[in-house]
Amino acid sequence: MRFPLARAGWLFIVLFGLALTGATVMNLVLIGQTRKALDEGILGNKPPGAVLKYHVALIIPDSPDSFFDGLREGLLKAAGTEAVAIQVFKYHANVPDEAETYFQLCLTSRIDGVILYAGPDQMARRGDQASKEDVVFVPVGTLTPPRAGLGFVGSSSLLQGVEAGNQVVRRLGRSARVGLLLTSEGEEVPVEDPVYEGVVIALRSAPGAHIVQVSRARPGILSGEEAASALLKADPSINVLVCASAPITEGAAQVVVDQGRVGQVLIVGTDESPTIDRLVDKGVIAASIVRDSKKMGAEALKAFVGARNGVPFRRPVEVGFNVRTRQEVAP
Amino acid sequence: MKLGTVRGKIVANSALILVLMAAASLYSGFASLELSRSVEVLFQNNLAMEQLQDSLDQTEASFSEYLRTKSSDSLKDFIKVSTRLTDQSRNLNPDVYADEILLLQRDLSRAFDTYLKVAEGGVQAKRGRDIPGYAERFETAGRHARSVRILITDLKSRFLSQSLGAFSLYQRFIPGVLWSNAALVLAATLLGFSLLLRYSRRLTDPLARLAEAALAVGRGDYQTSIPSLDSRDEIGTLAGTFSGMQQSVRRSFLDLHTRAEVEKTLLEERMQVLELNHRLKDAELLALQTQINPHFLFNTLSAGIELAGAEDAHRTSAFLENLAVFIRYALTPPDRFVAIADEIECVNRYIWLLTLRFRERFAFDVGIDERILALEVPALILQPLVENAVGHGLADREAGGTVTVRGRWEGDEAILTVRDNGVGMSDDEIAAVQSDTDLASPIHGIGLRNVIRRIQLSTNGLGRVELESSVTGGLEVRIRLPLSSVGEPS
Repeated sequence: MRFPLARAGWLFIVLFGLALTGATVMNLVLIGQTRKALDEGILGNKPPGAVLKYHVALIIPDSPDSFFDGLREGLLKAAGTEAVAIQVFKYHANVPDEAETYFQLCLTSRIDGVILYAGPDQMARRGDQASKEDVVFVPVGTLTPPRAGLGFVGSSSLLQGVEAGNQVVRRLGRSARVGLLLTSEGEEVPVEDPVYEGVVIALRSAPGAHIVQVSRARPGILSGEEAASALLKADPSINVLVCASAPITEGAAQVVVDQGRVGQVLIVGTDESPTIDRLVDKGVIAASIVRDSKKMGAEALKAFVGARNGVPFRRPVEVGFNVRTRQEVAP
Repeated sequence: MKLGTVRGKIVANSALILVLMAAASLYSGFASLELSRSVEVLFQNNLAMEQLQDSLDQTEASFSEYLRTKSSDSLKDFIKVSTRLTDQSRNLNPDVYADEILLLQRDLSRAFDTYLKVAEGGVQAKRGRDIPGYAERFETAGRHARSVRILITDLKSRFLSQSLGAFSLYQRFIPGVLWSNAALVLAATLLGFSLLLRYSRRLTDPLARLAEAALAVGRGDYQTSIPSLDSRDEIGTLAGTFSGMQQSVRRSFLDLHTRAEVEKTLLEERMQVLELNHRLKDAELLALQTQINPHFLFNTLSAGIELAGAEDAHRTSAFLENLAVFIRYALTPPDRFVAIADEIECVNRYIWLLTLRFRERFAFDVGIDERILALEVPALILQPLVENAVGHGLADREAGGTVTVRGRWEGDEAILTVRDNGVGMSDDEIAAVQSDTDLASPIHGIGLRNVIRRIQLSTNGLGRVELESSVTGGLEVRIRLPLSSVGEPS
């Protein structure tokens, strides 16, 4: 019995020695992982990558509109090739002062460039202020700033409205009874909204066709649903809804589906999203006027880099749009 | 203290176990400390933001105070807190990276820089009594301070969110760390216990084996093997010494045993000498008796012969005379050699005496080759055979019993035979008589064995006695005497 017991003693020593080593290694690994988690998450010791050349802020509304996703995506893609870091500030669409706050913040921080999506008002003043602080200012949007000589990258809402009107005339001709759903960003009365103006211009080619109801909707699909529902209720003769943003388009389509009026009420929407593409494919949405927001982002960065390299940015850049219909969406 | 000693080993092993346990405890403590430090780290960025905000508030307050009072104290305060703010802001990232938080830090760093420049400009304007200048800078500084606060708030919010995210990740590892810590301590304890058992066994095993051997030796088992220990400590020395002592004791016992054997042998020899002396005394006594009694016997017999002659009892006189001659012959020393003729004469006288006693009951026939009558043979080898034939072989025969005595020369041997027609002897009895050399054996007649023994002794084993019992009964005793032992026939 002596020999097996002696061997069992060694076996226990080896076994518990391995257990001790294993537990210690495991403990070290786990502590290392907690440290790593803290290092990367708290201390900022995570390798940030290469130092880039320029620091540009993008100030956009905090909106679910896919237009802004496209704008950001286009900007980031272009920034990747130009050694530019993009910092995004989002303001509440219903609180325009927030955009101003972020703009001032960027000036205080003497950022290399600011790309701002906002209405045409105060664009000139902001341009001057930025110029004074040696900050490149690139306004983007759908409404061209009123002052000549101020650079601007955008897709004109007027042209968007014209194309939407053309799509209505092509499908309904003179019988078109248009309900128009605008965004709440515009401060002007609806008849002065460029989208409204564009639709009116297009409808002139089909006498009899006209806009019967106009409404503004806050950002968001539910707001779009609410506005569309109110519009259809106010005038049951409406047989086409023209929507000025992607969320409004999705909300209006939902209302038409819910009311069982697919085919009776056409929808001409704006921009693109997976939902809009699906609804176009099903025939709920007749067409969508897609502003090329990615190109808008790319052009904005191009304008910034040009300005930094001594090329003055003083002219508007129209990025255009395309029409998304069932034929294009269908696989 | 030497490590090779038992004490050294105990101290070394205990130290090893203590070091192991201490290391496990220290490590466990270190791990706990690391965890507690990690909790501090979790919120250190938010604390840093708080400090920056405090410094900004103090800078703003001192800046406003100075613009309002233009006091040197407020100026000192402004310089002091603005310097601290500058130092603190240097910890913020100044470079451009594609990272939201690092970019915000850069914003904040540069915003602090802008604010401080404007504030310092305001102070200079105040000192230069440039009222519109410091008023404008005060307003601008306020705007920048608001931007800074927005950035600080944004960063704090992001840091807090980051801390919560990191905390949840950190928290995910904590149970593992605690369990592995517990496993570590448990494993260290068990390892220490195993080492303790192993080393205590290593130390006490030789002692136990030595104790077993000592007990065995104590019981008297001096052949038990003492464990051979390689250790050079006291136990090894003890085992070696004990082994030497065992061998020494074993040698002593062997010597004692040998001495006892020798003494026993001597004692036995002494006993034999005593026995021989005793027998010698008996023999001397017997010899004296045999020297005394014949004189008395022969005197008496002579008196009887004379008395029978005086009374004319000639037959009795002859009987006593033959008896006296026979007895005289029989009492002569048995180791002498006599002629066969003397032996035949002795046999004839014995037969005469038997015939007087038994008359016609037995018939005797004596026939001897004359050539051998002069050969010398041990005395009294024929008469005992005749006596044996009458006393044993023919004892139960009332009549018709015969005893034949013959002597002849055959080859190089003289052969004497005594044959009777009595009951004879079985083969087993013959074998027993021939092999039994103990003269005191009561199984058969003393005379027959006496004759066999004396024939062997007197002829140095050359002569021999043969017994042959016939199928029809009777026994023939044949004495073969080689010429080399009895001489040449005449």
